Amino acid sequence: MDILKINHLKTQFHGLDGTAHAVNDVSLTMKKGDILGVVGESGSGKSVTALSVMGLIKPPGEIVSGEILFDGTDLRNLSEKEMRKIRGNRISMIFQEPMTSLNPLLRIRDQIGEMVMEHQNLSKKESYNYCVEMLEKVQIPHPEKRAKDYPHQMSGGMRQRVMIAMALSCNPEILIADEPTTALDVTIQAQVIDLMLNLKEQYETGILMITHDLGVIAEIAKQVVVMYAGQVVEKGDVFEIFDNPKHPYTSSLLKSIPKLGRRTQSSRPRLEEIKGVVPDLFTVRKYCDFFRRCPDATDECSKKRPALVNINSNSAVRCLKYEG
Amino acid sequence: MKNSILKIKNQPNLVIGGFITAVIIFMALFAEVLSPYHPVNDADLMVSEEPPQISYLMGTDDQGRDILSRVIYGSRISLSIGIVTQLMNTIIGIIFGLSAGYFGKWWDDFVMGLTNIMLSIPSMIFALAIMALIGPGLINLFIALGMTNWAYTCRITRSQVLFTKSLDYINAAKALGYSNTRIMFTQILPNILGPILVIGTLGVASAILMEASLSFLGLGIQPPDPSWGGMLATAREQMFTAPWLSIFPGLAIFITVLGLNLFGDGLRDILDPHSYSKIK
Repeated sequence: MDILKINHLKTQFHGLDGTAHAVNDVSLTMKKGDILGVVGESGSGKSVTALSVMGLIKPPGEIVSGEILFDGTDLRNLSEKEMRKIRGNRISMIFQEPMTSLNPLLRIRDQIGEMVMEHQNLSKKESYNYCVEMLEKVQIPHPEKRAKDYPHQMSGGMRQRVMIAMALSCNPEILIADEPTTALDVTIQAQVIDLMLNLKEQYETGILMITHDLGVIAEIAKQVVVMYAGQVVEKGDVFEIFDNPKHPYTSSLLKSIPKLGRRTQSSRPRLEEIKGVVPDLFTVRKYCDFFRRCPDATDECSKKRPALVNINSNSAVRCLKYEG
Repeated sequence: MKNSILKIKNQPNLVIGGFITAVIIFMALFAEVLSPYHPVNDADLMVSEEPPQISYLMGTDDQGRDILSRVIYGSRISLSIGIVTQLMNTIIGIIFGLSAGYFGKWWDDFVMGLTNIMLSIPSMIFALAIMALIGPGLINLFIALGMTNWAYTCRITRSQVLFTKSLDYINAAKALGYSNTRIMFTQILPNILGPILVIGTLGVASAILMEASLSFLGLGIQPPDPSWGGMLATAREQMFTAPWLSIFPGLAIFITVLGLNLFGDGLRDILDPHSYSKIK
């Protein structure tokens, strides 16, 4: 069953220099309890897609068209009040920066307490007990003691765990994780990812994992969507994407990951980068957005904009090589 | 805790201002015990306009009342007016400033327009107009002064909200489905209380001055109740023949306002890390 289905979403930001097409016709599907990975460079529209789902696009941004079907209802048709009941309760979100995502003046128990008081009408005492229980679930040692701490008394990894505890405290059906491990160091990253996987099993929460870290995606995602310049360029099963990438962008991305053990005493092979930068989002081009950076570009690529072509039932690619 | 004590030690403004303020508050609380005479009833025309001496430390006024006692009792009026009216101003300012900064759009324009109008009318004139309309008296003073001075608090609150609401944890609170009221009062307000507290302390001082001015003009506290401004007003005619009549109430106003201003400045220095580091 599809818990989240985004159809032809277009989100734009209207600025003085024109309109930025941050998300340009994105469609994706997420099954209940699944982990869907969204990968892409900075500025590819990952975060804007997530914020669109949450209904948190602020002016000058605007969702221009498309559907966001959550459990069958289009979130775009809900009022702000109805949306607020869904946020935190049924769809929750955690952010990249654990250092600044917690209110510095509230004790941990009050932060988690506010959350359950908002959504579940628990009393102060009950919410405190619940908080300790949640801290235990996210594996924070001495939860009774730690609940009385302020955020500045905790490390980044612990704060991110507190964020996860808050986000999961109402047992949501979807957790949107916007680069949750980017600001953490590697060992803590592994712990946090492990924790998210465990909790996913326990609560059957679907996770929309947004990241530019392909390692994280390979570790946990089942389905992967690769985004570039506000569009989906490839989607499919995680093994398929990693073993047999179809879009030149995906394969370049995979080649640009540093690998351990490749370096030898005498020489080391040069790490491949993708030349150039993400194209600006203000103009809608008549040719492929990746044309100027693409290693496989042909003449045809400069004349025609590729469409998303379905390869099979759950994978698709946006490249002229696969068209026609 | 140890850290904050250290900080306070390095703040002469805060220590001196706090001490003066504490003394005034103590005076107001224990006026009955501290004053040697009753401020109104112990009038003895046989000793009218006596200069300062052992039995009347600050002398007596034209009706033979002890000025020291009247100054001590006067602190009650001054402090209660200063605190109550500034509290009203702060509450009005927070409600307007918080909602304007948070919701923005037409409401922000409206509130900002209103504050600009308030700031462009001299608050003294505004208070005078209200007092002339509703008549003199303590409660009316509360109303008049409690509605004239909120524009500063409102502006400061709004600017702080504009900064705070773009921080990550406010976005996180939104993403977790907190209601607007909850975000405003439990997430934003505690984080911006520092500057509001500072401007509030300074506001108490200016409210005390306003009350003294209004009483001086005869629109504030009515005789025979002792108020510093009112005492100055009646002492005006004997300024040269019996200067102690005006010196001591004037000194009381001066010291109180100075104390509160020092206290406010000191608070700003510890609450605002930027100005603190400059001092150190």
